[in-house]
Amino acid sequence: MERNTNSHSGGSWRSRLPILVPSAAAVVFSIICLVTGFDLQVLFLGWLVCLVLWASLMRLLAETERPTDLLGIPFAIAKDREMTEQYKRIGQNLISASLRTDSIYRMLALTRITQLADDVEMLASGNIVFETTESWRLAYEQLLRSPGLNMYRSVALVQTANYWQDEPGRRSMQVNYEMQAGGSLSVERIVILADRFWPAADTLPLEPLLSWIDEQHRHGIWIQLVRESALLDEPDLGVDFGIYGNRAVGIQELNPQAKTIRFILVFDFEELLRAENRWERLSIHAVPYRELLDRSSD
Amino acid sequence: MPTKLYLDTARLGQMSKTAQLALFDFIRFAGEEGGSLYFDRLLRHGSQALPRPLIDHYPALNSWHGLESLAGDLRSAAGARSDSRVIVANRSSQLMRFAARLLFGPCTNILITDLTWPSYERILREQLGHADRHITKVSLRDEILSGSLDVADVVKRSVSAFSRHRCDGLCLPAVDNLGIRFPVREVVDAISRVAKLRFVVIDGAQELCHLPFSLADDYCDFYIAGCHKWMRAHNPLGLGFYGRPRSRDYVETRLSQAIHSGGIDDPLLTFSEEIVRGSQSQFGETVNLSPLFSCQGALRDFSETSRHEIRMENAARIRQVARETSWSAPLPREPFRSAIVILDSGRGGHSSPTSSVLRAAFLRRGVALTAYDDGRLRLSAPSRPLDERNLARLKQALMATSVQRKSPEDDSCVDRLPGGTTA
Repeated sequence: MERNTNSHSGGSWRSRLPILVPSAAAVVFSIICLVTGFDLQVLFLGWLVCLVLWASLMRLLAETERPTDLLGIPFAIAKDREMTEQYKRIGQNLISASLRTDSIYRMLALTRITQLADDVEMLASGNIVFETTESWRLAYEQLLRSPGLNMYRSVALVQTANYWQDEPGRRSMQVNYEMQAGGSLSVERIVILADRFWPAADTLPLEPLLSWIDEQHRHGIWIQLVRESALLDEPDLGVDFGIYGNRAVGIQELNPQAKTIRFILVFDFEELLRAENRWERLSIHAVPYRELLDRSSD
Repeated sequence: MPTKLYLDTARLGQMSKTAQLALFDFIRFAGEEGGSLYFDRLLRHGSQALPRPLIDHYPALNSWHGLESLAGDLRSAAGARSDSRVIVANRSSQLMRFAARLLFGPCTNILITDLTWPSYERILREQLGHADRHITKVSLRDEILSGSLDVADVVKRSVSAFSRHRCDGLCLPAVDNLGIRFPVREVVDAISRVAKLRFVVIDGAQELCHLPFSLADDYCDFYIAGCHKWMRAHNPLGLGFYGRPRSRDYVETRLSQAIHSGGIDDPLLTFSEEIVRGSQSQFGETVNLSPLFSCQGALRDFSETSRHEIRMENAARIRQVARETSWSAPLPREPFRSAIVILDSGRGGHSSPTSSVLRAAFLRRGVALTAYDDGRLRLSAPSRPLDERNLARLKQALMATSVQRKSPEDDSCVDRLPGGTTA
C-alpha cells in the first residue's frame, strides 16, 4: 500500500516536471533580463528556448511513460513493428489458451505463462540469460564483432586449472586474437587466480594456466594478474565478468564447484558503470603479466 | 670542387673503408659465382665455409661470418644483451610500421613529442585503425633548442602529459634529426614509477654508432636503427632490436604472424627470418643482400669511428667558428647536445635560399652538409679532430654565405649558382 502511494507521488512529480522546469527557467530568465536590461528580442528568444524545452520534456516523458491500462499498451507498442508482431502473436495465443476450460490444463498453462512473463520482464530490464555455453559464445562473438566496439575488458575468475581451455573457450580466444591483431579491438584481461594456481612464493602462475595466460600475452592482449587472497577485503570483486565497450556487461555465474551455471548479458548503463568501477578497483590489486616476466628473468 | 670537409653524416655517412672493400669483393663474388651453392654457404655460414682458394680470392669477405655473427656484432654495437634479438630489413620504414603495430597491440594512447621524425609519426597515425586509439603529442623542441628547458623539465612535462591523457605507450627518438639528445631513460623511468607503461619504441636512427648508449638495461621493448648514417655502411639497412623479457615473446609472435600473413612487405626481413628459423620458402622473392655485407664491413670500423669525445669536441669547435660569423648556433643545455650542430640564418623560411641552393653554395667551397628550406644548416661533427685548415674552410664558407645574406647585391655566392636563384 505504502509502495503504491510512493509510486503515485513519484509519478505525479514526474508529470509536473515538463511544466515546472521550463516555467522556472522562463521566470529566472525574465528576472535576469529585467535586472541587466536586455532588449525585448533577447527576452522573446529566451521564452522560445523555454517553450522548446517544454516540448522536448513532454516528448521524453511520453516515451518513457509505461502505459498500464489495457488500451494504452497496443498504442505504445505500435511504433515498434517487430515488437508489435510478437505482441500480436502472444496475445492471439493467450486468447486461444484462455478458451480451453480444463482445470488441470489451465493450472499448468498458467504456471508456464507466468514463467514466460518473468522471462520477458527480465529481458525488459536489459538482461539476457544464456543457459548453454554455445549460445553464449555466439552472442559473445556477435558483440565483439559489432561495429563501434573498440574495447573489451574481461575479468576471469579462475577456479579450475582448465578455465576457458575447452573447445568453446579456445574458439572465443581465437576471436579475441583475431580482433586484437586486426587492430579493431583492444582486449584487456584481469585474471583472478585462486592461490593454489599461483602460490605466493612463485613469480608466475602454475601450468596449464601459465600457458593459457602467456598465449594471450603473445597475441598482444594486456594481461594483469591478481591472487584471490588479495581480494579478501573486497569480496564483491571476485566476479567473472566482461565489459563490452560502453554497450553491455557480461557476467558468468559459477556454482560452488566452479561450474558455469549461466551467462547473463546486461544492456544497462548503470550496470556498466558499476562494472567499470569494479574494474578500476581490481586494477589497483592487479600486476601486469609483463612486469612478472621481467621479474622472473632477474 | 670535390668534398674536402664532410659534415653530412646525419643524412648519409661516408662509407667506411672496410665496408667499401667488403661490398667490392661481394660484387666480384656475385659476378663470378652468381647464385651457386657457394653463395648459399657464404650467406649462411660465412666466408670460412668456402674452399681455401675462394677465401684467398675474396679477402675482404673474411669479415662475413654469417647472419648470426652479424647479429652478434650489432648487439655489441648497441650494448644489447647477448640473448636479445636483432632483425634486419631493407627499409627502416617497414620496421617502424611493425613497431607501430606492436605499440597498438596492448596500448590505446601513445605519447610522442615534436622531436619525432615526421615520417614515423605519419606511420604511427596510419596504424591508429578503427579501435579507440590515440596519439598524444608534446611540444618540446623549440624550448630545448633555445636552452630554456633542462632534463628535469622535459621529464616533468612528459610524465604530466602521459598521466593527464592516460597514455600507456611511448614512441621517442633517442636523438632527433636536429641533434637533440632526448633523455629517454629518464623519461621512461619516471613514467614507469607513476603509470602503467605498456610498450616503448625508441627511434635510434641518429644514436647508433653516434653516441654511447646501452640497450642492456631493458628500458625499451623495440629499438629501431639504421646503418647508412653514423655506422657508415652507406647501403640502407633497417635494424630492429628486441628481447626485453616482458615483451620478447609478444614481439616474436607478432613478427611471425606479420611475416606469414604478408603484413611486413620487406623481402630481406622475410628472407633473414626464414634463415634464422630454418623455414625457407621455396618461391621467395629475390632479395638484395649487399647491405648485409657493407654493414658487416662498417661494423669492423665501428670502434675506429666511435670516438664520441672527439666528435663532441669538434661540435663545440663548429659552434665557435659559427659564432665568429653571422650564423647563430642554438645551444641546448649540455645533456641534450650531440655531435650534430644546428646553425640558424635567423632569416626564416621566406627570405632564405632554398635548401638545394644553400647546400650547393657550401659544396662549391668543399663543405658537405644538410641545409633546410627555413635557412637552417645541420652539421655532423666528424670523428677525427678538425684541423685548423678545415676549420678555416668552414669559416670561410659560413662567412661567404653570411656575406651574401647581409648584402643581397653581393654576387659572391648564391647568385652565381646554376639557375641564378636568389633569395
